This record gives sequence, structure tokens and C-alpha cells, in this order.
Amino acid sequence: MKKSCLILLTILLTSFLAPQASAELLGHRNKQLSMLRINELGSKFGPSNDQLDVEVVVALSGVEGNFGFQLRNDKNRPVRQGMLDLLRDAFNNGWNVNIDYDINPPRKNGFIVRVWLTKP
Amino acid sequence: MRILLSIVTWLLVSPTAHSQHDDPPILFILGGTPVPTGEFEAVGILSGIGSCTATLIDDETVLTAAHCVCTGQSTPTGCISEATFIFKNVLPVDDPATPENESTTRRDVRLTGSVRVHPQYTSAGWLSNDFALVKLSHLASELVLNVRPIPVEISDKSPKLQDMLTLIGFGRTGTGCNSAPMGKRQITLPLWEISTGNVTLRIGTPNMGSCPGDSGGPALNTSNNIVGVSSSIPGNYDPTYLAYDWIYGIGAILATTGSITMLRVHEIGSGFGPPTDFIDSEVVFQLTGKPGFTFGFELRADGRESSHRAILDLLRDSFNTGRNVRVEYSVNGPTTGQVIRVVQQ
Repeated sequence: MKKSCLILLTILLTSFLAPQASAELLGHRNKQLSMLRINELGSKFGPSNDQLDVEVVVALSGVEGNFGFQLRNDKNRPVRQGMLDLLRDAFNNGWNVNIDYDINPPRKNGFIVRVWLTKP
Repeated sequence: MRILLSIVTWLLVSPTAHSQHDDPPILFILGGTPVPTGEFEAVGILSGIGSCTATLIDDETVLTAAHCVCTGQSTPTGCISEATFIFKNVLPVDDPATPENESTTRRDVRLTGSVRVHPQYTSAGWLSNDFALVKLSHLASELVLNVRPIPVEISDKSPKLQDMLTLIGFGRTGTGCNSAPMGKRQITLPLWEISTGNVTLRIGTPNMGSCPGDSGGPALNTSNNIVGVSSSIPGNYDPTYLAYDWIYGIGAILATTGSITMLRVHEIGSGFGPPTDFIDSEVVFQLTGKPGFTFGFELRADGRESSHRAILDLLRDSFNTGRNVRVEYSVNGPTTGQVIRVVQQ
């Protein structure tokens, strides 16, 4: 009986005290683009500890880190091309752009999941 | 201590306690409380056949009872084609053509609109499917400041017995409905019966409920969504879940024109909107012509990719230039539609 209690206590303590894996968060920004870049497939962006395996990368005015998404010949190509087109429109017109992105803190670089433009 | 005992004794024997009454308590019908200024502004008066209550359910649509716009109560006869909806005591949008600032003084705002009666009105008996819509000639938000439409509750959230429902109306008051109307009033009562056959929500009693003039008014659930429309006294409401698809024209093909206020592209599967009004689309946008409504379409590597890609390009052109665009769409829910065609104008 004592032994089983000890095992149970150990399991409980382990689950409470174990370091939590960093959770992916959804972030949002509404800023002007300061950089819009497209790179070769697989050339990636950023340092090894905060790298984005993406082909489209943006920087936002006054925002630390970069954000991007893949642009490949796969099932996501149409929607990624659409997001890129909105980013180009925002860049060409100097508009603010809204992005939602997934990020794993403490990393600064995130993956864009939504892009949108608004007018009053 | 003696004072406290005296108060308790007085409360127990007070003539206001119902148990001490021989006569039924005199309660104003819908007389619970006046609706405070600024609340439920979407509930107004419908001037059709006589005076009724009605509710703005989106920026251009008013829901009321069919018998407020038809003389027939056992047959759908004598229906009028136009009616006037009156917002009571609201702040109007300022008219730039006049020197004064109208938006600082509350007043009534009138809007006319075309009438549509539920196609099954009276088909299941007297006052069954007692619903009518008035499509307003102008968007309410163009004329009234900060008006918040009251939506109809989705059809799979129908009310249950003992649910507390809030009734709002401009009807007569007093025992037997013998007193004059006293403005917009509200009362919250339990739903005590859902009759079968000609389905009716029974909310009122002979002393509490609705009176002439409350017809067409809403019964709201605790989420402040409409679940019933006042049909007959005292407190009989036709449940809106029976008419949800008709009210919102779900499946109908409609068109609207305006400039784009929001254009968004997002990852496959993330969609748009709450679970009850969700569109599984990758491109979504909003137009000035239909505020609060979102249009969408898929953008996937399938047989429709080319046409959908071209629609996105048209939308981008319109957004970039500020030009109007006409959108034809299939109604998906109260606030969402699936795009069928886009025309640059």
C-alpha cells in the first residue's frame, strides 16, 4: 500500500515539476511592411535556433523578428500565393497590413497564418 | 432587536404580500419595467395594419408578426406591400447638409421597407407561422447611431421549458390590457408550455404577458437573441427556430454592391466565423453595402482554382482602387455568404 502511494506521489510530482514544452502562441500585428523577401526553396531564414523554413519573409516596421510562410507546389500554393499578393499590395501602397502568426516563445520569428487589409 | 422584530413582522403581514391578497395582484402587462434609454434600440414600432412592435435583426431587415401586415389571421389575405419601422428615441446620424448636429438629440427615426410574409402563414391553423420581414429601403446604420441589431437565435438552440425569456413591446398595459401604452417596456418570465401542432411558446399568464400593440415583438433568451415573436395574448409567441432559414434566406441567392473594407487570405481550414455561422473559405472580405456581413470562397488546388484566383485578383483591384464591386452570393448564415460571382462596376 505504502509503495503504491509512493509511486502515485512520484507520478504526480513529476507531472507538476517537469519542464513544460514551450507552447505555440497565436500573435497578431497591424503594421507597415519594411521588407518583403522571397528566397529559393530550402534556403530558409534566420539563425539556426530561430529559423523559418519558408520562402516568403516579411519584416514589419518597429517589430522585432520576422514572419513568413512557405510557397511551394503543394496543396497550399493557391492560398499562399493569395497571401503574398496581399503583402505585395500592402507594400506597394504603403498600407498597414494585418497578420496573424504562430510563434514559439522565446523565438522572435513566426509563421504567418492569415493576412488581411482593411479600409475605414 | 425589538426594531428588527417589528420590521420582520411588518414584512410578513404586509398587504403587499401576495398570500394576503384576496384580489389578483394588479400588474401592468409588460409592465415589469420601462426599457432604459439606449437599451434594446433595435426594438421599435411597426406601422403597418395598426401599430405593432418589431425588431431590427440585421442592418436592413426587421422581423415582426405577419398579422401586423395582413388583415387575414386564418388566411394570408389583405397583406400590405410596404410598412414603416420607427426607431424610438434614438440618436440619429448627423446630416451634413444641415448646420445643426442632429446626432446630439434623441428623436424618432422612421424607415420604410418592403414586406415579405412567411409563405406558410396560417397554413397550420390560426396565426401559425406568424412571421413577416420588412426589408428596409436604407441601412439602419446610415440613419441611426450605434444601433445594434438583435439577431435570431440559431435553430438548434430552441428554448426549453422554464427558460427565462424577456418580452419587449410597445403595447397596452394594465389588467385586461385596459390601460394605455406606456412606451417600450420589458418583463422577464419563464416559458411554461410549448404547445404542439400549431407550435407556440406560452410565456404569459392572464396578468403578465403581452397586449395588443406588443404583437411582432421579440422574446429574448438570456443571450439576448430572439427565440419568439409575439403572436397572440397573453404571451403566446411563435418560435423562430421554425422559421430560421426563411428569416435569414439561407440558401437564397442574393446580390450586394459596395467597396471593400476588409480583404483577408488565410491558411486552409482556419475558416471564418463562429461555429454557428462558419464559412470554410480561405478568402474572406467585407463590403460597405452590407455591414457586419462577411463573404467568402475557397482558394485551393482544385478544379476551381483558376476562377477563384481570378475572383481574388478582381477583389484586390477593387480594394486597391476603391472601386465598387457587385457580389452575388449564396446565404450561408445570418452574417456569412458563399461567393458565386464578382463583378467590377
